[in-house]
Amino acid sequence: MNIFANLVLRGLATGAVYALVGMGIVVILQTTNVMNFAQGDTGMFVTYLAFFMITTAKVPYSLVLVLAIVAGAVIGLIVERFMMRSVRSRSHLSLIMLTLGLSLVFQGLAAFLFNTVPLLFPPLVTGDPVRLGPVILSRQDIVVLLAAIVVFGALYLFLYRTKQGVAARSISQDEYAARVLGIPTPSIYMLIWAIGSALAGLAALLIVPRFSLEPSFMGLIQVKAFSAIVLGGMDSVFGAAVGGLIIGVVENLVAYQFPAIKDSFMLIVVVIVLLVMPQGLFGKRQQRRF
Amino acid sequence: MLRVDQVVSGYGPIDVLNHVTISLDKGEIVAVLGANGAGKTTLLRTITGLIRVRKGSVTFDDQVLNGLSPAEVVRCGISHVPEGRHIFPDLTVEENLLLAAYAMPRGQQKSRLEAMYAMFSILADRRRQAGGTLSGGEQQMLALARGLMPNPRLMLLDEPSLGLAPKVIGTVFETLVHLRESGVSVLLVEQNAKRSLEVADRAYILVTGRIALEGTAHELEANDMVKQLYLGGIQ
Repeated sequence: MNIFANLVLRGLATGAVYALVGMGIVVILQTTNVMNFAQGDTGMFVTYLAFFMITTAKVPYSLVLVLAIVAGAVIGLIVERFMMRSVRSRSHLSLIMLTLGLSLVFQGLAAFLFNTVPLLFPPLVTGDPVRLGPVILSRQDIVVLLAAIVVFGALYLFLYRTKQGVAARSISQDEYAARVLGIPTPSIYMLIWAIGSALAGLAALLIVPRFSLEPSFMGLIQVKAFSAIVLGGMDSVFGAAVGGLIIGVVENLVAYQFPAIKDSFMLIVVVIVLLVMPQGLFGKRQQRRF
Repeated sequence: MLRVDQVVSGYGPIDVLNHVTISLDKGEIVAVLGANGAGKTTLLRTITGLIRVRKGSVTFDDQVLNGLSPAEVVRCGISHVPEGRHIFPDLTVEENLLLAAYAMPRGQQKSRLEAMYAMFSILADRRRQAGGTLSGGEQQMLALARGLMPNPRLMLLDEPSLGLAPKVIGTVFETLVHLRESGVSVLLVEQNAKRSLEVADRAYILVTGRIALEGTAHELEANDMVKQLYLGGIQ
């Protein structure tokens, strides 16, 4: 029982990582209909910037966290304004290919600027693991879990309680109508890319202490985050969050018994769920514009 | 008030409108009639900046609208109710309305919202309901209310009677007459020529991107060609 509880909780912490990346992808996908394949590597690039802020410039940790979020947002703004916008009216597929290319650009740029030698990223929080009854959790895991909850709450408030958020939801339902009503859609797109990419930076920074920092470290996490949003339903932040947690827990349970198949097992689960529920667990409808 | 002068516009390589000139004075209901594909919707889209003016000019109260974004055109006092209503299905009635007054300060938004609920009581009853759950007639009311939310001086209406029951169509056209009384001008695009000419002051007939005929509603109702082509034969 103790082992089981520990595995589940550790799994939730892993899942929170996928949820964080997945929520960023879904926010962009919902509004712009663009699957951002560069989500993970945007975060990776921001994490490199953060690493050198900490080690060379000796910037305090809390400030680095803020700066990383800002850096992510700025990257998002640039990507939307100078790449997505000019292609949007032409071809939807090109938009998606652009993000794929962007991911390679970030990896190449990181390898060129920072080398590919794995770096050890200092943990965000230090100290002994915390005991909660029978369960033992590292402080880092607790921070990641809390961050996922805070991000989910913030996104929810944004999408349902602010006029920019409601406008973003309206664009996802009927972009033409949004333009007819006089909603400044270009600035909403920029805002959404900024938010999504800021989340990429935050997520990568929270995750990196578990791995080592190298240009490819977000690759597998991005695949898991994709599985999370497919599982949860591509059109809901809630689905991405829950999908991520489910994948984290199942993966952790399987890994305890059969470590070799943990990554492939999860994909089989996703396929089975999709056979039964093609719209995902919490998706309202299938994506329309693909 | 509104002047569309020798306007050419279209999509891709094709010009849909060929030197179209229309005008509308304050307090008028002007109808643009024509068959499918004549360019009626293109005309409205060109006025609101959804597509670019290629030649000619669009002016509204001495302000040139050429090159303005739809958001800027709304702020000039022109609203556009699109064909097919385009209600946001998963947003509530209230969210649908508030988005139509996106650029307005909050206090003003609230008072416009109350004005809309007073005018369309059915929407007040359904304010927390998702737009997609409304009936066709209710959705058209919501679309009209969205058009009025930004407090426009001119409202462009695209096929408001499309797909509605005759009784609801009656309500829609009555609303237009009320609007004129309250000082809102209306540019109405319709296939339902009979109904349109009943409420309109003047009308234009658009045939393959050109203005083929114009005149007061009475003149057009009496015109033989209009009778034959748009009013269902000679009575």
